[in-house]
Amino acid sequence: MSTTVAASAVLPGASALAVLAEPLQVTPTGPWQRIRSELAEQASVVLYAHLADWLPDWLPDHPAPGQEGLGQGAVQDAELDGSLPQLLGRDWQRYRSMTNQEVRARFLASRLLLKYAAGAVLQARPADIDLAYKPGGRPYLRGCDQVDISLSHTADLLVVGITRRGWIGVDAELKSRRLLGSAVERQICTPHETELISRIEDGRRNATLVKLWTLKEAYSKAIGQGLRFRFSEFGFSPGAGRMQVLRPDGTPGSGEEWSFRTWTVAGDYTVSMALFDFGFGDTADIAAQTMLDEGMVDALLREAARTEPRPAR
Amino acid sequence: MSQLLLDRVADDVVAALETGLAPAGEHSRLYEDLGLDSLMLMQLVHLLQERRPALGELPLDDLASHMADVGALTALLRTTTATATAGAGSTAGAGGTHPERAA
Repeated sequence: MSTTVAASAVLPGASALAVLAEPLQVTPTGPWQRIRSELAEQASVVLYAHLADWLPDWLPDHPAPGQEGLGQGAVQDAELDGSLPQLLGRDWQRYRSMTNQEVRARFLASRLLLKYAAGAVLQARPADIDLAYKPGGRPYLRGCDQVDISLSHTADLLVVGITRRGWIGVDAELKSRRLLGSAVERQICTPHETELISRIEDGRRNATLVKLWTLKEAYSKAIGQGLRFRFSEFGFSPGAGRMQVLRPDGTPGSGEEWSFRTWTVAGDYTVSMALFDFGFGDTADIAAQTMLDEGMVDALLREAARTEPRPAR
Repeated sequence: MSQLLLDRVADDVVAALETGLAPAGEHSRLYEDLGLDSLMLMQLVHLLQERRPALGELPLDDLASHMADVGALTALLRTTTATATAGAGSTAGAGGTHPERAA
């Protein structure tokens, strides 16, 4: 994909480690300007939201005070009188077919959050954000390849990761989710991790497992491999100062290009992020207008010209 | 499709689910209708393997791409069982993932 980006917009290649700020809570009213600023300054941002804030009840009839950055058009898009199909786009039919109400609510809220967040950082209307999926299910913003996204939701929490430097994966899980002693514990741990966990005091073992699980999920999402890699075939050292991917025996398996972080969010949740830095610097100007693929635009213009009615000779 | 096999697979699905929901039938979808998440998926795979040792180790990737609903999962297990019994010992199909896992 080629873009028209001014040379001055390509920032020096700072370490990916420097871009990992604390996750920002976001509601439909923002803070969009702050999110844009963080993404501009730090190249990546992790957002979280409460499910209830993004369900249709919040949708205003009229723009409310403090709608920073959303603008009249975006707010109107959010109204449910017929615009939800447009907002959800290719997800609309799948959403309609869901019968599990909890799944349905999280699916809707997470897509709205993602579309509003992407719209805010790309300076586009949420309804114009084309959320698509790769064959393995990995979501991406069609036509905006310079921005990578990741999505996670569990219980009452929604999490979105956005980066303009490479690949990002996020995952969230309840800290209290019981993994210790379960079959899952045996399926997700490398021999090295099993050894490490055996040395941890009992009261912290489950939380450590949840942290490992979210790190592995975030990493597998970032690389877009789904379940092709068994979680017992790569690992992390949960207490390490600098987190990195480890081989099953505990030796390093990734380099400086990968960064990982884990946070406690909203008190009850463990959220992890995996970030791969391409090392090409980053693109500060990510407005959708700037990022339109020139090849795609050319193709569309050619197609429009081809199909345009011609005067009869 | 064998009703007995379908019922047994449905039992495994219920055991893996933390929601307490029971499949309404073979067309109950694991994610969209029953709410199976990634951790529940791993638990389900463990149960399927534990209760059907003849299957050997089930590739999670292959399973996930074929278990959209209870009927599809049952059909996959029946095929896998037949293959394992015949000595081939592998599942068929392309890779995939839990519908929301890669999201």
